Amino acid sequence: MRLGQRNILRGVSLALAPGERMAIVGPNGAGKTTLLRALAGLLRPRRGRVTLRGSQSPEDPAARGGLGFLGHRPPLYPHLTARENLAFAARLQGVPDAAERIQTALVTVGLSADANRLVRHFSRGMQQRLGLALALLPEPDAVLLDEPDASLDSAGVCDLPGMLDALAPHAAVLFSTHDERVAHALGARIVRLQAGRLTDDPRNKPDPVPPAARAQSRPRPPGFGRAVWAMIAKDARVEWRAREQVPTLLMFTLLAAVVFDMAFIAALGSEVAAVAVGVLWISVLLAATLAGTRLFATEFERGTLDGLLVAPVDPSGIYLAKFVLLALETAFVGVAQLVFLSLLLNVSLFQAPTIGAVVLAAAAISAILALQSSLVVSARAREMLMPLLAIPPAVPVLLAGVGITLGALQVTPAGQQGAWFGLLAVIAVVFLALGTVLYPHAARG
Amino acid sequence: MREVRTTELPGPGRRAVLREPATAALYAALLLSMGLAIFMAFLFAPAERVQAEVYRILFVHVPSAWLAFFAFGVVALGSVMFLIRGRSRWDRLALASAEIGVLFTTLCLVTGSIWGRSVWGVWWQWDPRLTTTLIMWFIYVSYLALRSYIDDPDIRQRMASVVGIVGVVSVPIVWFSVEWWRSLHPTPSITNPGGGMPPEMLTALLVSVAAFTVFYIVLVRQRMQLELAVAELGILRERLHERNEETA
Amino acid sequence: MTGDLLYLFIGFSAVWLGVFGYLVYVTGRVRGVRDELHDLKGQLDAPQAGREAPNH
Repeated sequence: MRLGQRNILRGVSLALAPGERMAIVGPNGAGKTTLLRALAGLLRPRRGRVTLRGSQSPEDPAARGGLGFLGHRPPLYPHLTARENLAFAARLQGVPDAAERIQTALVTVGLSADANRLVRHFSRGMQQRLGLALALLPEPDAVLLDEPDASLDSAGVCDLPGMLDALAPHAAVLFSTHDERVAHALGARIVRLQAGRLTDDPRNKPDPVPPAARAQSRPRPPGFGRAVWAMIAKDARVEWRAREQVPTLLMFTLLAAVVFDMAFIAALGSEVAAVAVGVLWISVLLAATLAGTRLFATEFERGTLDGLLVAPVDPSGIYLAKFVLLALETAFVGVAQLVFLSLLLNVSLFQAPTIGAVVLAAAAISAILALQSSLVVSARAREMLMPLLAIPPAVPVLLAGVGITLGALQVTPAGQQGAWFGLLAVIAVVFLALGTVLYPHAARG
Repeated sequence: MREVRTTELPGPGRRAVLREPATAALYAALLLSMGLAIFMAFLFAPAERVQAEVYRILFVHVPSAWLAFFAFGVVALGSVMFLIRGRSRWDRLALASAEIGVLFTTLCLVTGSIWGRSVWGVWWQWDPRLTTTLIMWFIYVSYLALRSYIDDPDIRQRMASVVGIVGVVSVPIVWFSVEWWRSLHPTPSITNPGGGMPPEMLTALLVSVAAFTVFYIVLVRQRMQLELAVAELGILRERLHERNEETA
Repeated sequence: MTGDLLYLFIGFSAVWLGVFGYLVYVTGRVRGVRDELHDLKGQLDAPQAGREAPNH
């Protein structure tokens, strides 16, 4: 398997039966993380194949339903409680009897007393325990753990076998570790990974453990619409708790209104309406670009994007959920700016056609920006790159918005407004289709 | 999937490139067609009634514009094929074509601006063709910027392919929106450069377009070879590094 | 008329300089990268030959 300029893994071949546990031991940089991420479908191997349940690829959303993955950073939302994090995962995975299962998981990993605390107040060890609960929640058939003992205290390491036995007794477990004692404690077969090559430990016992029966019925992945809705609701709740985006954007919008008005003060005497329209659409474009830059970056930086990609949902659902979020934020900013400008410049901007234009333009601009936001997450200097990438294709949205609002204020004859609304709708539909088709190509590393 | 075969590359040496028959033929075609194009542009095509001699800038302006749009079509083709087939060759084609497309777009804008200054007395008009070309230039400059900001070659190829496709979809939308937007504030439009042209002029223009297209092919080939060589360099360095580690 | 000819001259030189400049730049870089490739291949081959020698 090749990655970038380097051969990370070569001729690695592994097969695990249900109930079997295998530890990959190796020094830093041996390729343990790469192997596990490739198995989880987060990386595409150049050569070779990963199969689950005999034949399915991890790129198939349905196949990922039977997969539990925990990487270096547990995919947790710091502004949700432990229980809410698990509930979100349960909705994406379609876990049956979710409330009961979540309670069992919380008790098993020793977090039942902290279930309703926000994850941002958790220690690293507690986050790791919650990450394990998250990975094991759907009672997966295959569990992939990247150094599960990292940042656990010694008691946590001792509890690890118990957690696996209780939450995923029948699962095939593959994990990486530095520490062979952990592998022995889990009764795992040891394989060594050095410089991308795999060797079996001669001391391994050849007898695989007979698989135990499933404790509960198999999870059924949710429908596409339900999954998208779960992601939107999650983002709304995070924003409600964190108040990261909306207040800042609101302040930005007001600031733009004041600063641009001051800059155009000389023109204000004669062309107030024209200046108001220009300021409105420039600030909508800039606010959408700012919010769009954060859209995927927040998930990427927290490691939660991996969590969404491992879930048994078509990745285009992630794009659609992010699109809805950005469209709501942008529409909110636009409507707020209509009010600010009406007050500051004493023009009647707050009327039905302009509100309609702002909402439709927000949808069109967000369809473009949500896709580009996903493209810049792994780029250097993404804050600089985003406006460069986003504004040129968004120019038609700006022109259509200006056209509609100038007509509404009777600066120009109102005859063309229908055509402009049509253009906005076409842009929204074209880029939504493009994003839905192309995002899955951009998603996996 | 990225296969780099060492045998594809000719060895070092000043004239090594010209020894391949295909390349030699291409360079010969380039020299011939360019010579013919220059002859026709200055000596064969007659002077124009209104603009006299300055209209001859047409013979570099129109080929640049044609190649700008053509190159970005090739970027989209390379991008789509890369996402379907996953072969780096397609991505190299898209990269080479984007870089050369940006070059020709720049030349088209510069020559258009110079021509405009001499004919209308202004450097810029908010004409749909000009404005769309300028925004297209921004789109493909940002395509190149995105490439240079992503270090991992695999991620870079995929992200760039998506931008390459988004770009080609954006251009017609930009064109329509600018066309409508301009009617809000009417300004004189450029007269169609091809309209009512004497046959000698049209022949000279077609020869110019053909000659510049040969030039485009030469440039794309050369740029793709550079990218291939750079990729192989990375792999060889890595191999050397690994070997040094093994011996140490 | 001389002003017009100046514009014509500037337009043509911009295009020719741009296109040929780019060709020269890319060709130069191809040559540089190939020389470096040649050096690296030499480095890779030389010690291997040394190691294989005792087997013969």
